[in-house]
Amino acid sequence: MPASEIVFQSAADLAPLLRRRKLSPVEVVRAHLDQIKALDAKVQAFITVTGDHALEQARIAEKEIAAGRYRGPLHGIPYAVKDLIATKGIRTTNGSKVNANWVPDHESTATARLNQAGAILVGKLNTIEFAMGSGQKSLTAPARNPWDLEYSPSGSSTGSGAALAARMATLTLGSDTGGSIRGPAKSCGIVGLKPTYGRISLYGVTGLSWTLDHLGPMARTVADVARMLQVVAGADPLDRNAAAEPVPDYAKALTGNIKGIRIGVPTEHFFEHVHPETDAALRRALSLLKDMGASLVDVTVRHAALCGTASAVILGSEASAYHEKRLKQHADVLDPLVRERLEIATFYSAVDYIKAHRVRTMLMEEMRRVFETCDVMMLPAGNPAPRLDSETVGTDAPRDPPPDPRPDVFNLANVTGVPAIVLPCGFTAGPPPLPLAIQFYARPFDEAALFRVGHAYQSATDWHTRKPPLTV
Amino acid sequence: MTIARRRLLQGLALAGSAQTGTHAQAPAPALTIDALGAVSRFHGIDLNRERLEILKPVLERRLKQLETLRNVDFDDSVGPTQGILK
Repeated sequence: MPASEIVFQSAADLAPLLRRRKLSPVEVVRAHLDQIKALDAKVQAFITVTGDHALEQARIAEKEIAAGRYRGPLHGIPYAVKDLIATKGIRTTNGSKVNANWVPDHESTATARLNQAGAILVGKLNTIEFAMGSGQKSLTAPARNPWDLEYSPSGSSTGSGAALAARMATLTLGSDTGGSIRGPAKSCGIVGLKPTYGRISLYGVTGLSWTLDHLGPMARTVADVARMLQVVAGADPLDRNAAAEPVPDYAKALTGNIKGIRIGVPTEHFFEHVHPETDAALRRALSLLKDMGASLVDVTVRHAALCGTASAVILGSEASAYHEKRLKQHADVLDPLVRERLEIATFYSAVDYIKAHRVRTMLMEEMRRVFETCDVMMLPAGNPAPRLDSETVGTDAPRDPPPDPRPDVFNLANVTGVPAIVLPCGFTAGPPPLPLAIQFYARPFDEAALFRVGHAYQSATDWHTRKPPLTV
Repeated sequence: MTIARRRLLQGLALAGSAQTGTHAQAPAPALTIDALGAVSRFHGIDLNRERLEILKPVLERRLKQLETLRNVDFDDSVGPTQGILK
């Protein structure tokens, strides 16, 4: 296979070629490093490129496979991670001047498991500072959207989305406290999974909110996301919140068959401020899924209007507690928006925080009720990517009209802990044409249902195969 | 600077710590820099005047949002939960 084609392949495409030695891990890694060299000056998805490390690991993988020690479907596959995930001996900045030179002496559980599976780290990815800044005043320049460089890839996992769209990595990891995996997945035309709370260990991940944080896989196909989750999910003695729930064989969900699946469609609240092109794309996707054998069920999520405030109070309070020392010692070098958000949260009371958690209980019960009538629930995943220069800088002032549908479309999953996936479902007419996306929620620990629906949808559509003009 | 007790209570009402008796029923208090400074000191942060002036308009916008949460009529059986429901 020509080097120029390697970067367009999914992990599922590359794995059999690597296993049968039709392709070498060195060729695969080199092709991606060349792509980074060619495009990252424009896209700015990477904070650190680990080229020498990656080539060394690729040569080891090549020898292992040649010796018959094939580790599995991620062996020799290039991956990159959001730069708030600790990598032993490799700089981890949190996108902040405060940690510009931090080299961890420990490895996050998620990257340790990917490395053990034979995946090869090609770099650390751009993020807005501590996953909560403006993106404009972080350690490096903001990542740009490969579909149009004047547009944002959305945050906070900006580089994780942009690197995949620009074909600079096959797999990435992001983190999601209120949509930070799913927003970039929507804006960059890729797939992002926020798994169930506790499904993936957070050991070695710089936190934002202990009770809302999630780590999750990102890729260009649902099948690749499923393979990645298979490797990183599961209990971890280093993270007491990591769930002991068994991890099923997700490959069994990748059948393309959705006959009998019940898709809940909210009848109120979540479609406010949805752009007409997004709305039309969602309706077309639902119509296709219905034609494929799914049934559509009307659902309502009571108290959903309280979710945004509850999320803001919990996230702000926990972030302010987590970063208390940094705020005291490094306030002057923090992104002004990070500083403002941390300081604002110090005015919330313990009563506010507890009430927010009581709202959380109500919403969890509500989701349990919703999933008595459906297997997955469809939600919008936000409007098309915003222009970089329109993103909030230094204030949380409301904008009129709002730039996106209600933030609850994302943070309801963080507040209730249920898994959620975002995948591409169309493009705007443009110019420029920008990706549109659909989102599904499922019951706790039922990521398989998301993979089943998502993979079936991707088997019947080609949105995920389209390439940004930059890459061709 | 001496902060009047009344001002401190107004500030604490913003922070949600004094929602009992007449304060809970009264219209939202006007936010002043002095009152916010008192709350900030009470919470152990002690933000300076320059920071408080930056934060005041943001807090004024947040207050309405917070009141939505503060006014929720919970059933006593609804306790706080985090993570996922078992």
